[in-house]
Amino acid sequence: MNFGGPSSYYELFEIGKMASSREIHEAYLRLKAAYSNDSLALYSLISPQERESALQEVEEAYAVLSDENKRSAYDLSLERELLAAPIDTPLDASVVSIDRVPPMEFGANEDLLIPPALDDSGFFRQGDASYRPAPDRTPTPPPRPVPLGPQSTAPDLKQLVAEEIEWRGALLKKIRELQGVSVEDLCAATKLSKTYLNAIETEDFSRLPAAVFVRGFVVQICKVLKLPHERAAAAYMARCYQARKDA
Amino acid sequence: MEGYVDRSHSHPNFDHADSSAHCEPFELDLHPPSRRIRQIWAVGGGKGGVGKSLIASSLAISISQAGRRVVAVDLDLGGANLHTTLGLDLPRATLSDFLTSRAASIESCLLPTDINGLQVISGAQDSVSAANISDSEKVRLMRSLISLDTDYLILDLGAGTASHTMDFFLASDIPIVTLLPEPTSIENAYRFIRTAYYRHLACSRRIGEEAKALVRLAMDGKNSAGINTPSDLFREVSRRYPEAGIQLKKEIERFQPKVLVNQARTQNDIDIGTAVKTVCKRYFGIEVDYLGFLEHDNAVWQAVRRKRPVALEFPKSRLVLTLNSLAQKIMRAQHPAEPTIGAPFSTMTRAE
Repeated sequence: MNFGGPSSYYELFEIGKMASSREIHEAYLRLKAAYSNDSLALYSLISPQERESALQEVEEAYAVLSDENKRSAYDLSLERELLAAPIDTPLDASVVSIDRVPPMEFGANEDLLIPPALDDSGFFRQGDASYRPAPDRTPTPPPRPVPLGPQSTAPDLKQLVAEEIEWRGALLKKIRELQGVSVEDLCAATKLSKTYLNAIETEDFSRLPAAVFVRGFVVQICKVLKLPHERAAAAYMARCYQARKDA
Repeated sequence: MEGYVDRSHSHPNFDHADSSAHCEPFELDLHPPSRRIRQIWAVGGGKGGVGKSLIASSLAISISQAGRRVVAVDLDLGGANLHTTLGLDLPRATLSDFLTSRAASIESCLLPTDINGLQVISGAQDSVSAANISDSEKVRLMRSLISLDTDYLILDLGAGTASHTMDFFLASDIPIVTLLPEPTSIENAYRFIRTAYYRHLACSRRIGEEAKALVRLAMDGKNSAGINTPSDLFREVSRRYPEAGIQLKKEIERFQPKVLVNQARTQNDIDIGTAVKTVCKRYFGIEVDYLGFLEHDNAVWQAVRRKRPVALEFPKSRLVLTLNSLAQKIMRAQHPAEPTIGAPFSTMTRAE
């Protein structure tokens, strides 16, 4: 799936992450030819504006991938996004990744730990009166646990999440505040700058980087706030793409 | 109602009575337990004269030379000439006879050829209306074809984007789009892919009705909602129904046509296949498989003039060797143990 919004420059160039500089250059030439003004393959399908836009993306990607330093920085940011990305394939039952498993809950008996329950929509339940964050069992569990807010807000929040379809930045902010998570806490947990977090919450897309990063940011925020990150990111990014297209 | 229990292998486009996007189940399974056919290959392209029949017949000969049983079917109901490319005279029994029930069964329309293991079912010859078959005829025909006792079924599709052409294309295991490096051919190939793409989505069982309503809207290029491209469609579905957007994405990724560039004369012509693949990914969000290219070869018209299959008349020509390697590549992609085709593969890279 591409649709003018590839998940990475490597996907745009249809090369692997270990591609040599020669492979990158060849892919660049191939794409330049495909989107050149006299390319027969565009005939009747791609408008001149779309062609320009595609070429711009190709140039932007090549500027990064052809520069060793920029490429290294980009690879690092990509790895961070991949760590936060939703997992489409069924999980291997034998592999338990710490960032996939919410903390166990304490039952009435303080010595008995209860696995977190799922609600009707398949999300982990967080509003139970019995819920208390489990003690940290690993030396460095990513992402950093964020303290949850007052219990009284939980039912409202659950309903809000279940019914939400647009996932606007303002809503993310509202949920963050309902959970009692400060901007500083969220920035620390997601490693995002305050500027980017603020731009996401205010949907100031002009202050945000390339779409591939924005999607990763939204996913990370949703994961920390325990929101359905796949749904939320899809809806949020649809608006982001549209806004940039309109601009 | 005739049919099979397991619907997991059935193709939805053969499951509906209405050729529009509204799908009513017909309960036709394309992979019934009794099926002996290993693979169905369909050669389409949207435009006439791009070499569909020649490629279909040559691939059929290549497969039969590998020792497999093949039935080549001429589904160009309005302009059948697959039999000519195989060096056969006007056939006695054709699909017209089957469709009008003059032929007792599809087996009675099978014509033997000089090539061991290859049989042909010729397209309609004598019925003016045969070019437009009804949905029930389409289903009856497909049901009969998949019941044939053969290893490979090669479908030579007609020009244009008629619904039955699209459905045979979508029902195949190897859907091939043939194009020439010419604007008219490119335009028709994209029209063909676009029609198949939307039909694939509109008739999918894995997509909910809300999303399908938007797919049907998108099929009208001048719709008032402004959904003019597949990416508009995906964006709109994802915005309104995020869960349906995920399903739509998966269904889009299941549509993987293969492109074959015919009559290539220059490196630019060869590169068109790669560019089409790139452009299709951007526009449709699909992975097109660029099968390779066939060089322009004078052997073709000489063989056609002689009413002889080019694969038999010029077996050592670069074109025939390339077609052999192409057939081999496709066969082995699914069944690695498939036997080799007689001729040496000195030009393997041409079909890469």
